[in-house]
Amino acid sequence: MPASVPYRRPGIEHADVKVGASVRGFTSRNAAELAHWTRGRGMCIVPHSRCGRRISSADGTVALHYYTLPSPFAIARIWSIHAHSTGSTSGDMDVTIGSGPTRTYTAPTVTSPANPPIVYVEELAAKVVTATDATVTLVANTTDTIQIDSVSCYELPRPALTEDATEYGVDLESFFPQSSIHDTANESAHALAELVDDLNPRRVYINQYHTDWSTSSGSYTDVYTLPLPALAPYTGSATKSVTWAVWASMSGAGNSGTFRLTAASGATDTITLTADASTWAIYGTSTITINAEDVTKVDGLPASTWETLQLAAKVDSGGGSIRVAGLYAFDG
Amino acid sequence: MSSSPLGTVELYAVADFADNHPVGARAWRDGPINNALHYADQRAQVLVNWQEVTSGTEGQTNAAPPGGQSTSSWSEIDRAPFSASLKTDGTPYRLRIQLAGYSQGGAAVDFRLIVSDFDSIDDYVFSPPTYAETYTGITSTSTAILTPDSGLNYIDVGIQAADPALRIHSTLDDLAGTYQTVSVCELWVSVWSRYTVSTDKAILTGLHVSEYFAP
Repeated sequence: MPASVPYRRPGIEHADVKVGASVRGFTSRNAAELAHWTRGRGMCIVPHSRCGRRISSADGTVALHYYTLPSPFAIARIWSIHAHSTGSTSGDMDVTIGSGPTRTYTAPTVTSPANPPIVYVEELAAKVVTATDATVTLVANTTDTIQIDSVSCYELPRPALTEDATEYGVDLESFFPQSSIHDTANESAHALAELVDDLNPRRVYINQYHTDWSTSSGSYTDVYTLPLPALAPYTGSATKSVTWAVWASMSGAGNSGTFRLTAASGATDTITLTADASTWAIYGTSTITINAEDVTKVDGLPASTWETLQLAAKVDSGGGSIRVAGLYAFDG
Repeated sequence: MSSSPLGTVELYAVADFADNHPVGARAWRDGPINNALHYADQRAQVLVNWQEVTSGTEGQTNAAPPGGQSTSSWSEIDRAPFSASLKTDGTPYRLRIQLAGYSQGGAAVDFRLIVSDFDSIDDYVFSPPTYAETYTGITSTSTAILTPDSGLNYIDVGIQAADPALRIHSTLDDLAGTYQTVSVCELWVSVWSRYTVSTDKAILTGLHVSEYFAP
């Protein structure tokens, strides 16, 4: 029987699991379905974010960079891109994501987000187990300018997990009433214990690619007008170390600069761009400690305070400017 | 909040549940059952997270109403789809909201945030459900985190929004597998604004929406 991934979160009557009473197969099956749901529903790998980049046919191929560690079990993603033509006529744009086909879409002249977004279904050639730059490649087929207003991406759920030693899908038939508890690969109690032990709920906190920002100041200057909220899942610790990186460059060879990420709870971390950083690329990755949710609160905010991250940058030496167009923070 | 008996993760040895290891009900409850519940709570995702950059070289990273709009009428300024995590009763996980914005010239502006299926967005903005957030009378001329009229920083989306949001997608069951279907509750966050003075538009400069489990 397949290790199916339910649409809704299955319930467990954990109060039925008590000393002196037999644990029903039904209860254990629900627990297995719940674990399948937790693992198989997919992640939001690009939380919706404003972009603001503009392209025209004169720009040739333009890439938007979304860097994160996705679910290692996902095999398809849904991308949504809002775009509009700033000219008097709508404009066509070719979109390619990953190894998928190139598709042509029309960006309307109306700026309203009520325009249906470009929806691109990306089918992965391989499961992704390391942090990766999921590049959205665009080519405008118009001399008018097309503005990319916003981008988001979520992973499609899996119909079922594979019953193997990687995904740990559990054969649900092994929990049918009157079935004996046994220790066979991907069956019964031991398999459920393996699967739950291997669960690792993760979040992508920030995955925003936007217009180029730069500063030539020798003092730290904030990149965003306000810091971005980021609150980690609670798995036994009040804090969590999360991974971060930037899409950035220095304006010229030989210059150097520093990015500083600051959490509202007090932690800071830096990424330095040295003399060879004159080309745009992912810089980092590094880690910073942020607060985790307080699961006793109605909103999860510890001490009723949002945990946030703010990025700042400064030039260290050589002059020129330090530039950034993307900030990424996720559970590594 | 937590649905697990212990409210946190309890470490256990997988080998304790193998052959020839008698397991008591308490070990089963406090180990795999507890952790399955807690991890399911914590799979909540960040759905929307952006802030305006302090300066840019191309288009705007904030969201403003399009030109030619009438004053005092709602116009949509940002819209985002997401795949909702559904609780056992079919309602979505609680959504934590933070919205930042300002009034261009200081005359009072309003923002409204709604969550619904794609087809109901237009209806909901004019007849908002009880869980919609409205930010009335914003006069700040600089970016600030705004407080909704409800005073709450979260919303609980009702079943009436979740049910019509069901979408069926065709997808492979595994790499190089065969096509099957999966169901997704695809909801949309939509932010609207209105203003009374044509030169004083409502500008959205940041938005955060994240899931949080609450029974």
